[in-house]
Amino acid sequence: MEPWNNVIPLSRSAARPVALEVQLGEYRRAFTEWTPDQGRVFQAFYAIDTETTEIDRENPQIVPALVLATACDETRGVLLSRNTLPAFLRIHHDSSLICHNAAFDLKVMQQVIGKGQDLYELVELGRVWDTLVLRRLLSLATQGHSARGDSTLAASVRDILGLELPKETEDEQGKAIRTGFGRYLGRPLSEIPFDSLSYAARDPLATWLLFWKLYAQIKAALRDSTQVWGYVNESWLADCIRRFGPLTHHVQL
Amino acid sequence: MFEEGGGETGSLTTLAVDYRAEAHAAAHLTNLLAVTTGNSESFTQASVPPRIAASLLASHSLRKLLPEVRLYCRRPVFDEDFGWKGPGYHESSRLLIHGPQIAPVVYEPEFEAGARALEGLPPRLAQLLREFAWRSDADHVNAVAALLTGLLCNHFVDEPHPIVVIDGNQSGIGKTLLGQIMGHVLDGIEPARISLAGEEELEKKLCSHIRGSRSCMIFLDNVRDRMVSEVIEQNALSPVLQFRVLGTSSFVERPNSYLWVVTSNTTKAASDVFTRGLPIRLSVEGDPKKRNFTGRPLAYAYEHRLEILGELAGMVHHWLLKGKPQGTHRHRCEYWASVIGGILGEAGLGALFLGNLDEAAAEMDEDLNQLRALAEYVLKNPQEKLIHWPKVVCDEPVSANSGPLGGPKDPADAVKGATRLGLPAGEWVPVFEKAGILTDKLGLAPSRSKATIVGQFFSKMVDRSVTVDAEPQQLTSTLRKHLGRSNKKLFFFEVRALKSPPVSETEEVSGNGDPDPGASGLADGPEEQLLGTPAPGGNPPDHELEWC
Repeated sequence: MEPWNNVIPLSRSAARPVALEVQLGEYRRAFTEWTPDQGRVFQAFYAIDTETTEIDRENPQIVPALVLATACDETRGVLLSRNTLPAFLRIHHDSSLICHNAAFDLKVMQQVIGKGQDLYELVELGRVWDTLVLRRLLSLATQGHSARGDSTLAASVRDILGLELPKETEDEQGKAIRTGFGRYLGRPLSEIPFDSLSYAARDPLATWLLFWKLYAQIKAALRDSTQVWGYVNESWLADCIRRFGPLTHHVQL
Repeated sequence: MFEEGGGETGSLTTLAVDYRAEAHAAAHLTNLLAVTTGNSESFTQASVPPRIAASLLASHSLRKLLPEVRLYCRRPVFDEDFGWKGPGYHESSRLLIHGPQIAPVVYEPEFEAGARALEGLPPRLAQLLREFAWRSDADHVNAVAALLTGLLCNHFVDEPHPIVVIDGNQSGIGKTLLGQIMGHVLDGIEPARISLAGEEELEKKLCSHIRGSRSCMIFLDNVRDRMVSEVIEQNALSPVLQFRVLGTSSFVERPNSYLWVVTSNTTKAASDVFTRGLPIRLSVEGDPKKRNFTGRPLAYAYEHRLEILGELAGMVHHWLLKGKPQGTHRHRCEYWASVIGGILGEAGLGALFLGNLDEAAAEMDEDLNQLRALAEYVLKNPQEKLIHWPKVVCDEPVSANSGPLGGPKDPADAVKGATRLGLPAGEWVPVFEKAGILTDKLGLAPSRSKATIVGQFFSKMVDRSVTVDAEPQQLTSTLRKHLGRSNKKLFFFEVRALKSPPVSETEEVSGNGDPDPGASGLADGPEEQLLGTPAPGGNPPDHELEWC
């Protein structure tokens, strides 16, 4: 059995919240359905990903509808429905979010939470991290190109972590899981098949792992930058990072 | 099918039905194949002989190699997962679309205080429907519902969708025009009008329509007298339309993703037909010639078709963004009502959608009209066993003496006698005959069948209510049934005085039917309180990353 198929359903009933465990390489995480009575479950950082109705490539101005979101940190993961996401984000408003392609996830989540809460304020505060942007900036800094077209989550996980994150999996009916979340829009998490839930849960786990690996690599790259032409001194570099983010991440985002 | 061209101008031609090649099949195949006779040095080319074409098209193995088309459409549609699909062949959903690219218009309905919900309609759609003489706002909203139904018709195949019934109080007030507009918006062409003249003829016309027409609308225009047709009853809500091809034993079969539209003046239809309907009523007092459209709705529909479709798609998309909430409107087409009701609900029009059903049924539903006539007769000619006056009506006791048209002398007697209430269907026959109800059926029937006819009528009308005018008030008569000796079904009318709700109750409902959230205390609900709760854990988390 491939490691990514090693999904263990922990519970499934209408009365109890949904729970499952996913594995990516050697990393495992238990995911449970989050309900507002659980309060804060993550501290300073967490990775989050959204699953939506099919993206209309011909009409990019149309924001797809959120079906579910998944989030995790070092110890645990949570499954979020449309109904619980606003409360979750409110309770975790002072944590930092890590996404892969944050522009998309923020747009989708902002649509659900409405005008009462502004996720983009977190961007201004430097509390949204995008592994897609970091990956491309790191590539630009160390390899001289921006890894354009090769910075999807699956490609980044493969290149940076050496793990396979399959994206072309199919459900029991032979339909692509990646593009098939639309059929579960408006339905409770308990009605979404495990294959789809585990597909959704693997992405924040991959994003979480990717972020910390990129962090280490970017840190090393910055440490080596003392030899690069234009480097001034340590406090100048610290100031650049404070103002623009590491490798200008905040500005790019 | 043979696809010619593609994109916006593509078209399909039927090559074979039930594995039998059509007469023109060989000619079309010539576009793809040619027959060569001779050898490598000398040969002659010719078009495909009809027999070879017939053999090819009868081949099961060839058919397996061809892409399956589950739905063919002349405009973009929402697939089964509500993904918006533009022109081309979509393998995952097996949709083939020949038509223009249409962008859903982002729709955010916003209402100013005191504005009518209909003022929140997208601008092109609002302009298109602005000048019709709607009987009520509910009829206006049902017209929007009809267009949305046409746009989403592929979603209402296994779960049926209703017949759109456009009714006018007189001719010349825009019923046909409204039907034409629906055709122009949905298909970009004039919808073929089909007359309701004879069942066999109708079946032939429908067969021809689904075989060759580019229209997704079945437009039965100007149905006179009564809307009674077994062909319509059998097919309108059926998931699959199947008609025999004239002069052959083969059948044409298509999924019923057609929008059925009927226009009629002062429509009369049996309950069975009516309960499958989406009524849209137009009404003009006086001479309709004096009431002209200042704009040109048909030209407007033609000119702004893509924008109107984009606005309709935008309404659907807005509903998707809200998580696809289902409407709670009651209709025989339950799933359809929940989807369209949900979309209109998110547009602020949920309270009006299907809001005209009872009123339209009272006017159009023939069976309900017959029941009303029977109730009126029974009230004017009271018999103890046929009427029950409940003791307390709308918080006020209604005595038999207060019954304007008679009734038991003492209400207590009526309640005591409730157990003796009702007559079996057979004993109602003389009442029907004296009242002139179901005369067309009872007149010719042998006496034994008369009880069956009355019994059949009662069985479909049980628990249905009619309002009867009885000066100085109105009464509601409901047909009730209970079981007598030997489980015999006994029927009677339960009569109550109709009382309007106090004004203060109705005034509490805001313009779009939604209660004021502030007034209900929702703003201070448990979720809001929870969201305001400070995060547990004491100190704020440390976000600082050490980069260098």
